[in-house]
Amino acid sequence: MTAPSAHDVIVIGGGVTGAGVARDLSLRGLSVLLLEKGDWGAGTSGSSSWMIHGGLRYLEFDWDTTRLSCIDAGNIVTIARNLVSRIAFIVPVLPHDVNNIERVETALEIYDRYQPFKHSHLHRRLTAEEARQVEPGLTSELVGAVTMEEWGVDPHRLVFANVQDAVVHGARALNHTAVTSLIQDGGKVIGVRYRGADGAMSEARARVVVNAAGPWVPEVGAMAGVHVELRPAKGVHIVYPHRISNFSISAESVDGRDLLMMAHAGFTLVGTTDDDFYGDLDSVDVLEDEVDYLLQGIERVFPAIRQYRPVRTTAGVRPTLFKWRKYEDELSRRHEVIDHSGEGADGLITIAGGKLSMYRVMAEETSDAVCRKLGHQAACTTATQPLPGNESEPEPAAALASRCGVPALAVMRLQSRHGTDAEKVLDEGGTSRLVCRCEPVTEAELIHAVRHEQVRTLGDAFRRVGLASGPCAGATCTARAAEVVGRELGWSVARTREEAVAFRRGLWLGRAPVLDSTGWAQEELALGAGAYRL
Amino acid sequence: MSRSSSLARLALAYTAHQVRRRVRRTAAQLAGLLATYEPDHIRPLLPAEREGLPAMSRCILCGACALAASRAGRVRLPDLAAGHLRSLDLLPAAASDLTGGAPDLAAAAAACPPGVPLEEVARMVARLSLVTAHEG
Repeated sequence: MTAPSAHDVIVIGGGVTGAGVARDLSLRGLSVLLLEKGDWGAGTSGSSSWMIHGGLRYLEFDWDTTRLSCIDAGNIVTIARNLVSRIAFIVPVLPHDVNNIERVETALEIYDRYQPFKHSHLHRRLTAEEARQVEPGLTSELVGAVTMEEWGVDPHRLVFANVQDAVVHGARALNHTAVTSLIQDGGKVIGVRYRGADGAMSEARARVVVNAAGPWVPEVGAMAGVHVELRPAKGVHIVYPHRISNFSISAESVDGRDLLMMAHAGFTLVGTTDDDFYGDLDSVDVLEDEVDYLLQGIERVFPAIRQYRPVRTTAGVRPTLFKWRKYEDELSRRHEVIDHSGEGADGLITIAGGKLSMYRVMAEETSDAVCRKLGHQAACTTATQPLPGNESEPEPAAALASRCGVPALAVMRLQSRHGTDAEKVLDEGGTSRLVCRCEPVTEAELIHAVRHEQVRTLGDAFRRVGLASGPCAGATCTARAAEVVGRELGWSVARTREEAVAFRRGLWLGRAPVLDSTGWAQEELALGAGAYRL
Repeated sequence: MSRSSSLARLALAYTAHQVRRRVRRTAAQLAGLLATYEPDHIRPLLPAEREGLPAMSRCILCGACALAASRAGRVRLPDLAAGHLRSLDLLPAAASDLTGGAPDLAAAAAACPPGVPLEEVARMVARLSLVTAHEG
């Protein structure tokens, strides 16, 4: 074991909150070590609904939460412009809905007061006929509809942009690095022991350790002998590899919950479920019942949904704060910063609860608590400081495409991930060949991701550049991508094959609950092409 | 603010909304909605496109169509259904990809194992790629 490294703060957990804390503290001039046991954003953040929303439904509980949520959504939209896109929702109203169209419009009139904070448009009211002109797939039983707007975001890139900026400002950030224990000295937490990506054990010391491990916060807390109680909630989404519609649609589930069919950049998400979860956080399976529950709700307003071919599912666990007796949906998405100094673990601070849309505020409050503890005086700047790639307007895609010899669509997707850094990324490796044709992803971007974005597995490449996220579901691109990544990382032929097989197995596990006849044909095709054998 | 206070304010807002609805006629809002979202290229599908989209989106990128026909502009045929059809809102900015080329789409569609109607795909992608006058 090497000599321990020394830092002001160690942050455990590389989801959006941990990455946000690391960025915030680095910008305030503190030295930070950020540790993530898997990959950046691979847990709850990546399994979210990919939305920065203002919290329309909180109007029923607390208007201030909606206001604050909208204000901070506006901040995120400003600092991460390349990562976000508008989501225009149609809220269809059917004859026997719990809320009639007047109630729905009333809620959206109130929401309109806060929409300008997040640079969103105000609602519109449509007749049934108008709504079906906007979306011809809506049910003929419609009595009318109201529109509403939120922002979509790529959470994987949002997390990584925060990590990237933290590193630019002096932080050290290690993925595939698991904390195995906390080091304590006389009731004070003074550091961590961790296993690196290469399996080697190391130690790091810090004046404060932040537990930002999402649903794993009780596990990390237990390492210091403190009890953090959560009520973990499982959320499942179905992923379609196309935009089914340019407009997103809200629907009501059989038990009266709100479901959404969301038009993101290049794909559609249908979700989400919300159920208490007691299982293994590292192995969250999707059940066919959960898929049926979602489809049943959506097909009530969009009857043809079962004709579309899903390519995978996602499942994540929300780190909801504990509350007895409430139904899952009624549980608050509030967050809490906990200083454990009164529990014999001085120097340990936990951030628990919350949601993706509030990550920046959660990070700011946690960083404030850290700074108070360290007596460090520096203001938070994350609400206004742009994330990497957002410093100026990107070049028109067609011009860059023509100069670099790649399709304009590939450039647009590249710019949505890297903003103004897109040309620099395209210059990497001296190749303009496409490796993943659905997304599309160039080999240059994949090489850049390995060299500069801590991609160590094909799963990391899925999160960083969208590899295998399109209709081919990895059947066409996995082998070539494994060669490109393997060449950069010095993998042997056998290791390259193992990594490709492991990646495809992971994709299969997410795809199995939603395979239809075309999906099975695709599996056969992949088998025939030797994609499994490689 | 407590839950009861939130609910009371919602009830008040509902009453005010009902009064407004009685005294003020609401103008048609469809044109305004479409104009609002045109800069983001959030455009509706036509009824025929909606009906055909499930079949159009069944491409599995096997490449059989590329053996039967040449490129559509700078785009290889499987990419038309697997790549461009995915990102309907990005099509106007990627319109330069589709300039030139006249592939035999009927032959390509006949070779497609899942039966993707490539002529319909090309028509829909071309329509949604149109750049409006103000962007021109």
